Amino acid sequence: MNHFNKFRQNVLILVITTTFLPTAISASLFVVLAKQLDNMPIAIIGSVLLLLILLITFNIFLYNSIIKPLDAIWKAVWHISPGKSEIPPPSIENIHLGHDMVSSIVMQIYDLASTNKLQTDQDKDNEISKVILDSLPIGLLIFDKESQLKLVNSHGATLCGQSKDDLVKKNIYEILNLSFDNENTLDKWLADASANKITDETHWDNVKLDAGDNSKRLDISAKYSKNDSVGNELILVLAEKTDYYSSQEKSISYVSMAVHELRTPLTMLRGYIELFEEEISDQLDEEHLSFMRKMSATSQNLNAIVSNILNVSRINENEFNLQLSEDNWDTVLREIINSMELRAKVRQKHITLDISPNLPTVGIDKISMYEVVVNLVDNAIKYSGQSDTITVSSRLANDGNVETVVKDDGPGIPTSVVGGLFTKFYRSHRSKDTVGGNGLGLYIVKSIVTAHGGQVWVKSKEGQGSEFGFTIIPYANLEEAKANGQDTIVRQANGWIKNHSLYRR
Amino acid sequence: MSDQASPNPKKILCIEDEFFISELYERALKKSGHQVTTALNGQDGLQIAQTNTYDIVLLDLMVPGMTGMEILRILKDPSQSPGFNSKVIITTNLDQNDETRAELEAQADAYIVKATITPKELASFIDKVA
Repeated sequence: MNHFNKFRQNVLILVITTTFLPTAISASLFVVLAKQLDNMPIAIIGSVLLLLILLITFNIFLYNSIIKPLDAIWKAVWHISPGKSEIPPPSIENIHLGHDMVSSIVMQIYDLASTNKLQTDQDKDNEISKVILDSLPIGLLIFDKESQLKLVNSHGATLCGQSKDDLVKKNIYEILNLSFDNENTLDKWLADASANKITDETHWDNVKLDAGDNSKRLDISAKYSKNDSVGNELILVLAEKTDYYSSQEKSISYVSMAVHELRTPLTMLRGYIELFEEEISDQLDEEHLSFMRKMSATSQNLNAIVSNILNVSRINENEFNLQLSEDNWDTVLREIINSMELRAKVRQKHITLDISPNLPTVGIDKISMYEVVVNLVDNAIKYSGQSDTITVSSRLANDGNVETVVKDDGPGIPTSVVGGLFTKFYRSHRSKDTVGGNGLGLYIVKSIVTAHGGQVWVKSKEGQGSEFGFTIIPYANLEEAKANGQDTIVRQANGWIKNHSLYRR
Repeated sequence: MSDQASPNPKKILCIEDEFFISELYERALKKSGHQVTTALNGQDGLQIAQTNTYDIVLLDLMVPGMTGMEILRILKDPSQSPGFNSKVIITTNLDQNDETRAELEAQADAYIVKATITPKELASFIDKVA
């Protein structure tokens, strides 16, 4: 401001000196010369010359003290103007009169310009942030200390079923009508956080949001900051998972639920039968003991049928997933046959095992392979007629795979029906009349063995018994083994155990 | 019976809503020398598991109050269940979808289909897990 006052004084002095002073001096000179020399022409010439000299001198002074500073200021303004970057910056070194004022104004111009640029850049950043927030596929809602909405992105507004303008300034509970499946609600968490915490974070899965006519399923993450520097006390991130949770609910299919409903009483039956065998078998005579064993074997059979129904459903829905791990086939096969001895015994059958020594380890899903053998041996028990021996053998086949064969000496199968045996619901006319069954067992056997990369086959002739065989690939030949997968889960016939030391390699 | 006694008796919590099944499990496991507590719903089971120390938690996936999966998540989250380090064996008769199966394999220590295993077999299964 001082510089500007000084400049005003200079301008005033200059106006006076450049207008009145040369005129006054020249007029005085004219009067003096006219009196002294009494020569009018010389007096006029002399005073005019003096006037010219004075005018030139004063105008140079005027140029240096006004025009040059104004020029420098003008250049500074142009230099910082948008699109005028080719204009050079002003040079204030050559300004002697008013140098301080000019440099001060120019500096202020540049300061203002940089402040303005900062603001413009900030506006640009805000615009970019806004675009990014609005393009996010998740909802973002920010609430202030009064739990009123400060900011919402486009997806958040869509989830809430209202426009952004309608939402802003509304209370959180006017905006979000949420239903939680347990007592750990947003309301409870927020009350606790605001009462006891400076900052807190949490997450909820599968929260129901009622928004107008439809409801959505969300995963919600929340952050609470009591003393947030810009007043963002609560930030909510909403991820819509409606499709995911719906499909998860649907994926517990009718068959799965039916299987669950059948298995629950079956679990109880098997448990109580076992309890009776344990606790009262020594009080029973041989006939009642055999009844007990038949009950037990029948409950095992029923369990196998239920598993078959579930497996067919999985195969049909393309959800039959195997998890192969390295196993000793000798051990696995013995385990399975042991578990079937009761079922054979109650039907007066005897299972003979013949396993070649030194079989390579195989890559199998043990639960599924259990069902392959159970189905084949169950068939042999059912269809072997008067013959009382079933032979299960395993050896290394010529192609390098492990081959297992279940052989009975029953009536055999007519050649005409052999081709359809592995088809779903297939049952030969003769077996339909004589033996119960649903025609799913061999279909499941083929599906499971094929999924393991192996093959199934049948060899039978009427009157000469039947042989059902399947192959499994040695573990070392599996692509999975070559990929060096490190299994940490050991599968057993009834489930799995993680990191089981007995089975770890 | 001495031949049924577990070589390594355990403290076991059984979260199972079907009374007949929990009764059978409790009886068979006690007979094997284990110490057994039973919870018939999810909330009670969770609260007992969080406030006591067990070697094994048998967890049914379909229990009233809370799902077994929710209980498993809470028990395996150190911020919600500090100090919980029991082994969790999932006991279920329900077929699992891929997502649930993957989560169970990540979180649980073992898994059994109840209908495929008798209470006595469960006792020997527990000996393998623990």
